[in-house]
Amino acid sequence: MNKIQIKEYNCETGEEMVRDASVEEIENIKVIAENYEARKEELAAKEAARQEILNRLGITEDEAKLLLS
Amino acid sequence: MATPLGFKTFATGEVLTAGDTNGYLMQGIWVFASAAARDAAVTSPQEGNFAYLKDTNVTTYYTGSAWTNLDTTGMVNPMTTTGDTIYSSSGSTPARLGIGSTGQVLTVAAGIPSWASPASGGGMTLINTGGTTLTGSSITISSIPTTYVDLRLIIENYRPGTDGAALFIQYNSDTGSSYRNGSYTDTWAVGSASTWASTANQISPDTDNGTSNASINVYMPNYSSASTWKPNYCTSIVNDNATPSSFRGLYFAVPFKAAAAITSLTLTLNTGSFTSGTAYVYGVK
Repeated sequence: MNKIQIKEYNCETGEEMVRDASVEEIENIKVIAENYEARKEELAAKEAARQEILNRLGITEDEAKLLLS
Repeated sequence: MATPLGFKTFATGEVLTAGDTNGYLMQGIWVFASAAARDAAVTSPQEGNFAYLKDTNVTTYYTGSAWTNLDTTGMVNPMTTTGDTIYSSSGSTPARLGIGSTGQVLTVAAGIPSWASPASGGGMTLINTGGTTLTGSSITISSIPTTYVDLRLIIENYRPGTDGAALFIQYNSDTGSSYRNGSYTDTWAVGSASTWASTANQISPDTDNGTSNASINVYMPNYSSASTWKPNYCTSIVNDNATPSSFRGLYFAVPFKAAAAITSLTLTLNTGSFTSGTAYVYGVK
């Protein structure tokens, strides 16, 4: 498995370096990824629930919007 | 004293009249031992008369009301280089002002003229010289000066190695719940009470890994404030990961809960590494 690389650029000195990610940085990336996936799944679940209701009612999305307008 | 007749070249055999003598020959510069000798000899001087005084080696002329020394000193040219100019230093002493550099403007400092770079009246200054190429999984741009009014991040042609990856930003190495995404995946109502529920701000939607015409822009107004939260906002457009010729865009606030100046930015993919892209950080006056 490839190591996770971190690049740093210091605006004051102009120094640039690439190094291996620390444990904390790997954990940070993991948290970002997990949160993003969780939100996407939450959104997908909401969409599925909405579609289920439309199916039970036997109406389209446009018809539902018309009812609520 | 006769009225001056100007200049004339006499021809051979020509008769020199009294008028010629008075009008031409007497219009030269008289020579006297001193001013006293001059005044004794010329009792009714006329405007335009000239007299050289031997004791002081000064040429004088009559203005119509008084004798005045003729200034024969002149000015020693102090200029040495193309573009030099002359200004008056210490009263009437001429001094050299060397040519300035390209873009400089003439100004005044300590009472004398000088060339100086014009004061910046606005615009953007690139802070990370040349931009920072996106490589690895995360980029941190640190030691951002706090001397500007706003901060602007522009990322051009960002492309992840993993298809559908998204890009996130964090500030000051803060990985806590100090953010709130304005993303379509994290809805919060404008004007309503909202919590700091995120650990990073999403600044790109799912992005194609094969083609990149991406442009990601994050604006950080009043970023150097040590007392206010940061109402940053993001405008992004990337190639859609399913249909790269189509686009996915984001346009929303990406607030950051920090009552401290932003001095570093960290750009992180949710998965994989960057394939390409360049980040530019500008200070905005």
